[in-house]
Amino acid sequence: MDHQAAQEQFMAYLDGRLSPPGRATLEQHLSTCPGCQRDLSSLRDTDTWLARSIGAAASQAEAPRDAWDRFAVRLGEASQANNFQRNRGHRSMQRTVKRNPLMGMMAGFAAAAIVLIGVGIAAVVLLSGRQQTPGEVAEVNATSTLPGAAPGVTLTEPGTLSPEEQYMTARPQSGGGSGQPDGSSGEGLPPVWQGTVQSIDPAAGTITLGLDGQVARIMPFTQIRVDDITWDGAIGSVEDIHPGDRVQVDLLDVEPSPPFANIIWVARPVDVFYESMAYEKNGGTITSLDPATGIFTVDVWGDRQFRYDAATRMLIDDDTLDGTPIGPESLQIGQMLSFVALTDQGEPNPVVLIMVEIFSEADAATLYKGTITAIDGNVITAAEAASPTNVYTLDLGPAGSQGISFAVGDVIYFRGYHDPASGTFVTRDVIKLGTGEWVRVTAP
Amino acid sequence: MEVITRSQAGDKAAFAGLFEQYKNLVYKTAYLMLGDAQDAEDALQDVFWQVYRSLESYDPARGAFTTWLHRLTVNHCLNRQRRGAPPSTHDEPRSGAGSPEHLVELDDTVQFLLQELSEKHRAVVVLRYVWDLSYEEIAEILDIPLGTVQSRLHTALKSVRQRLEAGGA
Repeated sequence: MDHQAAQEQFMAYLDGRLSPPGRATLEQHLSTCPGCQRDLSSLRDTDTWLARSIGAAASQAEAPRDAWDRFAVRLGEASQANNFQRNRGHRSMQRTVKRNPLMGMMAGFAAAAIVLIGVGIAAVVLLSGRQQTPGEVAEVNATSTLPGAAPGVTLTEPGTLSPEEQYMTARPQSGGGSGQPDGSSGEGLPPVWQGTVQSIDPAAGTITLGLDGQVARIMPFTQIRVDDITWDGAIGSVEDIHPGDRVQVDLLDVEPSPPFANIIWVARPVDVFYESMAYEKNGGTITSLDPATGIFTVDVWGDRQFRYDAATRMLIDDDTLDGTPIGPESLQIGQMLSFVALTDQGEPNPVVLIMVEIFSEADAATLYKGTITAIDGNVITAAEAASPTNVYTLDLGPAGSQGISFAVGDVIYFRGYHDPASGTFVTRDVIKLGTGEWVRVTAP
Repeated sequence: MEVITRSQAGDKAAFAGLFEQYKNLVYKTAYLMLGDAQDAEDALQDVFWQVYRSLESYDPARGAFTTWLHRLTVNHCLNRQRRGAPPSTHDEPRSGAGSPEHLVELDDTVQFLLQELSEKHRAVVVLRYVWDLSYEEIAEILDIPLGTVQSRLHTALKSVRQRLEAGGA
């Protein structure tokens, strides 16, 4: 093997993708070629540096919070164009909207998006004491800025306007027009506001939402319904949301009483840990922690926040992975965590296993998901889910017999590293999807 | 994923959820590909507009949604650069663009090194190191042979190494 042929194999070698004979040939060349050894070492260092540096840099890049608002404007303009086209005799677009039980409740209200916008705006219309047309951005004059509000955010006083008053005021502005027969808004887009729960006042029965780019709203508990983004139709309660939660709010008419309600879709863990995402985004840093409540937030690569919630049947294990769940009292701000999210779409509640571990981002990225294709004693062969042609040999060693029952077809998560010296994949730990069983094979 | 199915059926609230769930996938890639926050924001809007208009044609049996979205994003960035789009002329932040996280700039060294790479090599590096995609996934997204992924990655790494050793970054 000459230098050029050797160097062409370097990337495959570093990624453990060379066949055993190919690996042996390259290693034989490396053993006699200091130049190629240096180049390979240099390439490995660069690979590591890039993984760490770009990963860290990318975690800082965040899409603007109002990105959806801007997109919604674009959709609205297109909707108007479509309506114009339709009025000129073009065939209207028919859509079949599959609705879950929750969405079905909306069917009785055929009021289109304009109604919904009207509901949201009517409250501030009366407070400001001036007339306003639907869609116009409201400016609130007769409100006060409350402590704790974000800069530039003005909070409306609670109790100034009853939900019914808001509703009745908004109703005429809608024109009463019906959208699609199924109650969807047709071409119009239901307004979905993004925001953060600023505070909850159980005594007053109100929740304060800081809506991005909008005035904050104080809503009575009776005016909202809470659901997560699983769209499973299971309605939660106000107890499911907490200050600091990122939420989106659909201003929707919902039957039965009260005559209307705002749906608050709470960005819950299941939203973060879709199974398909579990092995893509499995690292995060604890950014806040409240020992009194046990609630902590984890910034998942700067992408989303995850909140500890016992209702998600979440298990926390420390780096010993001894199978004994630990409590959030063991957590510290700044800790990096690795996640394994065992979410089964067929289950009503996802099981989320969190392994608490001080991690480098490069390490966190080496978690794989795969399916067991063969078992020979304590040696498992697994095909990577993302790339089934990538086959890993996981030697569990003596630990493999410690009560773990793996079978062909099991979906597993596993972690380890490619050892260039031996040309093997050194297995670190294996977790069996669905049960949370795990086995630690080698020390980090 | 149900939110995709619902979006395909015309449920715009579901599409809003889809947008929120994947906006950073598009934004981060565009930011690193284009090297400018405002251009990345424009790309985010344009890519999702494309998603909105063509979502009905997406077939889950033909590949993961994320693969499709990566492909739309990278192709959008490559097309923009191939058309010779002028550098960003955005002087004023748009509404809402002044949020603290939006003002965080990428590490200068990383951004400099990325922009020194050709667009093709940059795409491979971004998909590999930002999203930790396999060679097979990168090959599918960029519609290039597996060996080309490997060779582009090798070339990119050597280029980065030379820049780092030369102190050019």
